[in-house]
Amino acid sequence: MHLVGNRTAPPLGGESTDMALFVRTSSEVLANWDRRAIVEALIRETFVDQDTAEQVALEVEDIIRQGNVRVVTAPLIRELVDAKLIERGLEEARRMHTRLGVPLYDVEQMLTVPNKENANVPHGPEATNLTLAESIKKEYALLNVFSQEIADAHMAGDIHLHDLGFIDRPYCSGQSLEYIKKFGLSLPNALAIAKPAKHAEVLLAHMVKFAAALQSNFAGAIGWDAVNIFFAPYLEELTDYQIKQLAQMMIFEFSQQAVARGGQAIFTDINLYWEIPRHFENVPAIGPGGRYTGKTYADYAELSQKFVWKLFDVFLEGDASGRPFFFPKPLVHITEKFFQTPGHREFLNHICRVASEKGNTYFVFDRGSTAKISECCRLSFKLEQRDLDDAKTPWKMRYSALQNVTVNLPRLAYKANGDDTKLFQLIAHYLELAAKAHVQKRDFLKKLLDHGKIGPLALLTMDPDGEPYLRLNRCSFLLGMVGLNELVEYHTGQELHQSEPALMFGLRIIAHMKLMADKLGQRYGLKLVLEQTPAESTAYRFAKLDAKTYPQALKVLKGDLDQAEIYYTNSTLFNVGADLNPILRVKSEGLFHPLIEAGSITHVWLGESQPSAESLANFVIKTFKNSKNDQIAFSPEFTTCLTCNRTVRGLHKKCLFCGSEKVEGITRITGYFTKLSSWNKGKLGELKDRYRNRPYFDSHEGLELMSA
Amino acid sequence: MLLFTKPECSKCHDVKRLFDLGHLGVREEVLGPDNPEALAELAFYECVELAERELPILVTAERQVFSGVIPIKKFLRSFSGTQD
Repeated sequence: MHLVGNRTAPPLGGESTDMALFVRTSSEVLANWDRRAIVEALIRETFVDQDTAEQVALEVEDIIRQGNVRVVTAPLIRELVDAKLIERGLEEARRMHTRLGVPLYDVEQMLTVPNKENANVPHGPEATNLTLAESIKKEYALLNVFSQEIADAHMAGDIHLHDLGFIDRPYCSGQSLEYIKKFGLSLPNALAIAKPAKHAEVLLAHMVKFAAALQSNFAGAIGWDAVNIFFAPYLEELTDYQIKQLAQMMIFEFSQQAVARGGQAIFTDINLYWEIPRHFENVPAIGPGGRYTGKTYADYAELSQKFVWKLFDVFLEGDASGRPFFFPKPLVHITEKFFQTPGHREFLNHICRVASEKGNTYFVFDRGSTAKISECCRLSFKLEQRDLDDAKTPWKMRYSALQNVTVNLPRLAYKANGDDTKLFQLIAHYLELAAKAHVQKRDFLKKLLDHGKIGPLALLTMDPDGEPYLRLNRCSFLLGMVGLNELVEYHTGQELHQSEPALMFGLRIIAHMKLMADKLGQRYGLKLVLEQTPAESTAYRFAKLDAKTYPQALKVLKGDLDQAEIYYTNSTLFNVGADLNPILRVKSEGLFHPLIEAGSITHVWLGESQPSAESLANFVIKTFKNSKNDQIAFSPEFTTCLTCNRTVRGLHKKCLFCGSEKVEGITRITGYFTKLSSWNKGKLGELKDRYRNRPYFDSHEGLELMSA
Repeated sequence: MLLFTKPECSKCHDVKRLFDLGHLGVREEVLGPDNPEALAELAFYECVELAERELPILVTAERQVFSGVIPIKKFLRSFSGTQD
């Protein structure tokens, strides 16, 4: 016996005969009750001293004995111990000792009710595994990776820390096929190693496998640079038919729901060129077997053009139901050299036909000497001089954004209450908080990466070219924004599109953010860049939180409050419902794009309209020549029938062919096509408001207006 | 008219030395880490990427853009000639 506090307790090693209980432990074992386990856990996991630990253990044992608890579980014991720690004012110890998990009721809900936070996650066992794992990692991140100040700012909705459920991964990545062409597939924990591919189909298989592996190591999009160019050396012996087959295989491979992470399709972006970009012209081409072919990529212009043409043939056909493919997303780079390359007008018409009929094409504008690898909904890695130097060894062209933190701009307007100085100070304050969050995420990832090839991020440390796959010193850290339009509306009384002063004020806000990002980047040693946050769920989350906490929000929130289909306008976009000439929208929204280094996009909603390829081509040319817009996408809408499998233009409640009500609407949610049934309420509210440009695309007069 | 400059830009100083900007109705916007207003104006006139390559930049009331010392000098000389 020994004294613990004021109590005389049985020796720790001794049996407590009236505590003949079994504990259901978290290692799936029924263990005999032994309060030593509590003491050991407290000493191992916290800084609590032996005496306190023993006293706590004794008190918990008393509770269980007196409560006549029949089913003792490890979670119950933890909760009781945590309560005792709180009683003693040992908050920090309680935090360290806390158990992460999900209530039984919530698990039941997750297993039975679809989760709509990410429209790219189907409902099924893999998806619920993902959701459950994510929920624990989110809690972990907020308790143990980020400081309380930052965690609280996220929970309150001042900022949003993206992909918390993937705290142990970087955000998005862009890479080059040259890596697997040169090194083959030799991934950590692989059951087999593959030499560099000798044939195009094998290269495709390697690409898909590698993409799936990358998806397990990154939270977001997997982008591939210059896909048609790097495939070209493998196409020399192929007929046109075989090249078309390859294109079909590529698109179908990436458009199927994967068996990887959560049952999702791999969020894949393929960057495509009509011309051979200057930085690849003189680069020695790698071909079958990973060997140099003796030519440069300039010599493969014709084959790479053939391949990209065929890819768009497949996009034009759609899937077996005539639906657009959701992935991969084709991003065509429009450059100065594009317009000097023979055949560009025919190609432009071809990809614009796809844009009109299926909506797939993304038009990325690289003006002057800018070069980019694009991915995700709008993320871009602008290639600097050292990146262009890397182009000589293109397998080194690997880029990543480590994390995205988004600021709730409308809320800052409510807090500032019309005071410019206060507003700019608040922006600076929350951007600094975001910068600190980035430092914390980076430090956490560094700890994981330091485990090297035996660690959890082994793939990111593999280094066949002498450099870790994840080049940490080249990573970007993203600062996003939601609701600039509502901030301006609240602060000035007008929305961005409503007056020049409102637009100028919006530009001042983003200019301020950009300058702050530069300053904070220097202060914290980070490459901090602004990005237009995709905000698929963040715009809805912020709106919901503000509707509860800030009555002023009701003046500017968009959507239908009664239906709870509310949202903030995404990033720096203009009101999606504003009746604007689409050329003017593209030009005006484009004013912000040069300030947002990590990427921007303007959406042109088409609804049912199906403008001619020629008119869209003219639109694209106008955008390139007469604006600073970074990227545009045209988004038609479709209804697909689950009974007769046919697809029509527009959103309808019934099938126009067979009359069935079992139909699915499809259109672009934020940066990819998906079914409306997976959209959250905020996005559904936004969909109802979208201005579909019919007066401009449905009539000759409208087209004239756009051309004016 | 707007003249975008930077403090450390010697060519910007040349232009300012040669012309009485106020008399010509030219307002100077000095780009710098603490001047979001100037950057916002630069963005409004679609000159952000241009400014990364070359300064000074002159934007006229008709939204003509001149960059570099020689074109700006030429324009302002011609403009001041018509002003006299």
